[in-house]
Amino acid sequence: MTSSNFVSVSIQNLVKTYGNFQALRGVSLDIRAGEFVSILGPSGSGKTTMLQIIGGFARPTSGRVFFGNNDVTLLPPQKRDIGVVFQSYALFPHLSVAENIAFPLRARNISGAECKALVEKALDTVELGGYGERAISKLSGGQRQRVALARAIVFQPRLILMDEPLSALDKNLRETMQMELRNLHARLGATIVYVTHDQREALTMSDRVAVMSNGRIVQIDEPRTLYSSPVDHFVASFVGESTLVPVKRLGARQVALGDVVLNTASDVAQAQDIFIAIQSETLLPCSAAETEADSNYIQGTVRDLVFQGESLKASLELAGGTEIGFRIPSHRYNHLTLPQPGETVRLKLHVEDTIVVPANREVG
Amino acid sequence: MTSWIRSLLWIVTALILAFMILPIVIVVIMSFSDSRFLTFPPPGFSLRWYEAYFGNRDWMDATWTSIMLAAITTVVTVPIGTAAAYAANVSQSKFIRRLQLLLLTPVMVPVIILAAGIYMVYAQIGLVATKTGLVFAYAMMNVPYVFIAVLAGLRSFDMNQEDVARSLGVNRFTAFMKVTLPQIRPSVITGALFAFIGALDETVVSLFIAGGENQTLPRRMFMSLRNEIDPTIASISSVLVTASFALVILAGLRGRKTNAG
Repeated sequence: MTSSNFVSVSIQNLVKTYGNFQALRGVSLDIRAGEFVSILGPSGSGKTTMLQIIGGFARPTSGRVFFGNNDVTLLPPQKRDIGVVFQSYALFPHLSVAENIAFPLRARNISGAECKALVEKALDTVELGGYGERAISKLSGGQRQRVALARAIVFQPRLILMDEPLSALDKNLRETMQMELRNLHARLGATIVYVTHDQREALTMSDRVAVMSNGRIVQIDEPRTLYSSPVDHFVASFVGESTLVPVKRLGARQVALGDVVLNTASDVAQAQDIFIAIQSETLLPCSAAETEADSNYIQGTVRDLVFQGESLKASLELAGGTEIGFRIPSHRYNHLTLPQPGETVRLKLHVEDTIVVPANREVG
Repeated sequence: MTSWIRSLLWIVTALILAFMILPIVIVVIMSFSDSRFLTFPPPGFSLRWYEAYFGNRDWMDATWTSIMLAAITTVVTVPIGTAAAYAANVSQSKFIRRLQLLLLTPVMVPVIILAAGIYMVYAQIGLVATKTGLVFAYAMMNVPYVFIAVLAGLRSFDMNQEDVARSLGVNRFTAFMKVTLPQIRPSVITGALFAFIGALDETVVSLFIAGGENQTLPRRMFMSLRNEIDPTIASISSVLVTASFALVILAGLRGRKTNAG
């Protein structure tokens, strides 16, 4: 893919209503050319509606969509030049691999040697060289995924849209494909909009992640920022593996969790209800005597300890009866000093990892 | 215990199948009779009633009229039924879903009422005993069968494929023709077969509105049954049954080939 057609995408004030139900309540989003943006949200958050509108499969009730400087809001899908990859892959089972990939080329009246060369090149790009004559039914899940991808990029689209394309694959393959998609994105310089409910997938691949809830984008940020500075209760609970516990504001950078005073690295919101979002991997067991300036300390009783392979998941009951979860990597060093259920342990939490968020923003 | 139930199931199944097949078998046997009357079992065997059928101009005319009308009906019905099924499958509107019911009324209304109604309307507008009138009537009566068969096929079809096809650069109609239709073809063929056989077979409405030079085979058979009971009817029935079976089996074989390919 020598020359690239990839464009920026601008979404302005999209509203979509179905009867009384508001699927989108005014969504705006600007995506740079060549940027990989994930739209992350639970089902019913509006992310699929958003993809449908960007793809041209549905029309917004109001609002506009621009590809580059072109207003494409009312353009049908066939005039948008977008490569779409669905969760089900939606390969055409009555056509061979090569015929599937040639489909968008035929639609553009490219045939013969040129078509063949482009198909070969696309197959090579997704590392499926030599698979052209295979029947779709003879391919594995991962191979189907690659064919769908090849078909979506072969005609040099302006944008690639993906709707949970990896969710049908098993875990290992999914992680391999995530890395491959990342590489492919870098190689093609493609503008990619990726819809998913898997926060880890979104964090792994994206330049930026837009978190959706109730038909709105709640936060859009780079993965690290999203993780370290969630804007509210919803984002904090959806990203990472965290326990949210109500806290009281004591000062600009100080809150109280029950009797325990915790310091934060950034200013605490002046909101009515605030919560501490404790990511399970940020807590570290420590000795009773330790006191570092950068650390907050929490003490509690271990309730459960479950072995989950690469780590152990534990729950800790605090003085007030609140339970929080934490993880211990399951290597030998830890196994020797593993806390037992019923034991009292002291955990430290870095000030930078002490994240306090306000309750969800008012949804009107 | 289980084996006892199993053998009972076998017997029940055999009885049901026998009940369905026996009338056909009896008709076929009677068609080879050498008697002047429809009797079972026949006193002797001959091909004279097949000669009586194939050698008679009136019978042959009626046969060709019926085949031609059935063919035209199929050509008219399949696109209409398929389009209706497509709409019912993709539409999210409640109104469209209610319209489905309207489409199925020809199956639910008693045929005799339908026939009387058609006759009254046709008598007013001069469509009685015309090919156009017959095709319209048959098409109306058989759209539900195409509709149901195609809808069943579409229900198990992944509509995302059409969305993808459109995003890849073709319009909706081309997407349907190139992606959807090849995959639901077995359902469409089944629907077409129902429509063809249904039209070929139609008797009640034809009794009211066929006639003159547009005499259909079932109508003529019915008339002849009224006048004289002779085994020609049995031989014609046997031919029709054989032809229908052949069509269904052919379609079945084709369906299997597409699935394997």
